[in-house]
Amino acid sequence: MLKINELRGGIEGKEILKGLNLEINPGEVHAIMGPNGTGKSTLGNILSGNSRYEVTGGSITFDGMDLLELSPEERAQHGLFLAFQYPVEIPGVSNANFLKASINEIRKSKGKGPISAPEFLKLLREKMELVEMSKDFISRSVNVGFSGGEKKRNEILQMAMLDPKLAILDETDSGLDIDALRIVANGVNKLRRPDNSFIIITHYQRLLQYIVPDFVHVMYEGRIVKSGDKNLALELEEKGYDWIKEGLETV
Amino acid sequence: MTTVTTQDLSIYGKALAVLEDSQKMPQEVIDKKQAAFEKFEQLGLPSMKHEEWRHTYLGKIIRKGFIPGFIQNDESVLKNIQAKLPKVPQGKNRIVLVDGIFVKSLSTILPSDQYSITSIQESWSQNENFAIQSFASLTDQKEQALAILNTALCQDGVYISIEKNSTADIELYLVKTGGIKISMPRNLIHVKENGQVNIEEHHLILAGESFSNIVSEVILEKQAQAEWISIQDAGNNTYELDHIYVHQKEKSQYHSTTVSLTGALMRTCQYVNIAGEEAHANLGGVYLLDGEQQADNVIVIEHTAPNATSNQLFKGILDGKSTSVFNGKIMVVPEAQKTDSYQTNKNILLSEDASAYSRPQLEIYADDVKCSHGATSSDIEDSELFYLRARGIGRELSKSLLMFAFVSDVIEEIKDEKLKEWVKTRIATKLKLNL
Repeated sequence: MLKINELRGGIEGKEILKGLNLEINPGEVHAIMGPNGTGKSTLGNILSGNSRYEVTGGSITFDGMDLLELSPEERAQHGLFLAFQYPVEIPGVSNANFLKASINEIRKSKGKGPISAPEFLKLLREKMELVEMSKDFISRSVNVGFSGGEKKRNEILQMAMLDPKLAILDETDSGLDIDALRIVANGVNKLRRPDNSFIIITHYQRLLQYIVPDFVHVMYEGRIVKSGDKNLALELEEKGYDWIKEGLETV
Repeated sequence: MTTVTTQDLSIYGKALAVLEDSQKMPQEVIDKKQAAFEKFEQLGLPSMKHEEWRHTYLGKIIRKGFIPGFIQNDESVLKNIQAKLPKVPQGKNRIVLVDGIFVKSLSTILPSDQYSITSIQESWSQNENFAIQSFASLTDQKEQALAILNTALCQDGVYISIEKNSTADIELYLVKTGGIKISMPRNLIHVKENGQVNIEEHHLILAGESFSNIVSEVILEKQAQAEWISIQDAGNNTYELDHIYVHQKEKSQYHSTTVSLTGALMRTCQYVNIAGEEAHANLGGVYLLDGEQQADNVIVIEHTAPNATSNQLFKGILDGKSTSVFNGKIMVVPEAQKTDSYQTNKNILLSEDASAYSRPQLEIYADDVKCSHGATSSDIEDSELFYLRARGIGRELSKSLLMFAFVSDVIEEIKDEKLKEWVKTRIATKLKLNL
């Protein structure tokens, strides 16, 4: 599904990713962990096409396409989704209108007409239940006046509505209390299928107790330096990132 | 070919003479008109030399051939207008001014003992005391040459009087027939204690070009409220100068929203004197401009009583070669302690050829006040645009959604839900959004 080869890139002329390799197959959940400033969010931003970030080398293939040739909207239309670390507030645009615009733009790209109002509402109600959103959410402006937890749940709701092939969750767990964390994880788990994949970017092992990954990767200084199964996350929690750094230095 | 010099004021003097000959007016009104004309002659027409007119070329409009003159409406034209007006909504009054003249046959005034709505000219001729005495009581203390010109040459308009504890909902249609004569409607609105008036101002042009110089005086007694929504959307052949003078007594509220969508020049000047304690003024405006459109908002808020508040929020999106002017002044006299007054003007420039001139001013002579002002010009936020695009929404639609979002807080201030929805839809259409 996704193949990243020797990816280099960064922001404002500063190289952050320094030859990153990663391959993801359908049905897999990959966790990417690592200390602050190692390029985890840069990876998420580059994958979703944020033009503030530049790519200086390497390649990314998504579903057989050269991902780097696609605009952010084309990537989303082809089934790539980024759950933002800092979701943006859009006053004056209701969640319903925003989601409808999003769904219809994706449908349009596939040559389909707009979704009918009843069909849209049915889908929205079903997915709102999944992330335990209250009814007034529909008419509220996107993320305006939302608590940190509500914003993150809204990201998961959007993900559920758009049903992507590959979802990247960029520190979705940061700032969440235990209830919100459970809701977010539950949302993700219910969406797991053999034909879709997830990249969970996280700082802590906590979320991975709820969303059990198939693979855990450790990022350090712009590269993946260690990969393993879910037990690697536990090991990191126990030993800390210094253990990885020390290991690298001795090599 | 003759050159028209815009500083030759004799045609205005002749127009006043014709008006005095053609229309019966009480001596007090005639005296005010003559005094106004003398003042107008001293001031002359404003030019670039006047700070408030630095970016607005009045001469260019007048040189198109617009002249003052006595207006008589043609019956066949009035019939034509009838067909163009939408149905009057249930429970609302409609006032139709055609080139500034109150047309009874086109207006719908619901019978009520809670308010009276009449032609101002008729009120004068019937010696209605308040209409005569209050005429020009707010305008002519100021040095606004065009408002003073309106005092001198106005022929008609509407006089609205709201009784104590009463409410009136009014649609005010300003129809222009497209003649070369400058229309100068003159309105007087008096809201008595605890009364309320809701005014929706619409503009309509039948053909050709038009130049209007509108003046309204609004007197709000204790606890009175006025909500004034002005929709400037009559097409790009209109030049509109709209002056609103407001005098607020204690605990009164003045709330206006100006929505400027189409027009060659849409200039709204609001002079608000907050002369009563605990009174509040809330002025909002949205302008969406392209081509060579221009929208001006000139605001002067004078705080002359303590413990009063005011807020101004004006937002614009400019494309093409369009221009906006925001001239906002807050004045606080020494007696007006505990004043809270805020002012914001924000613009998004979509084109390098568009210009947004913003000139906020504070003149504060009291020490215990909270006042602030701010102005910004920017492009659409990249981070916001990216958020929408990352959800599969194309660049153009994303921009439209964000522009809609940008102006929405101004529109949300409109209290009438139906009108708010209508304005939202109209703005969405202009932004090519299908909400």
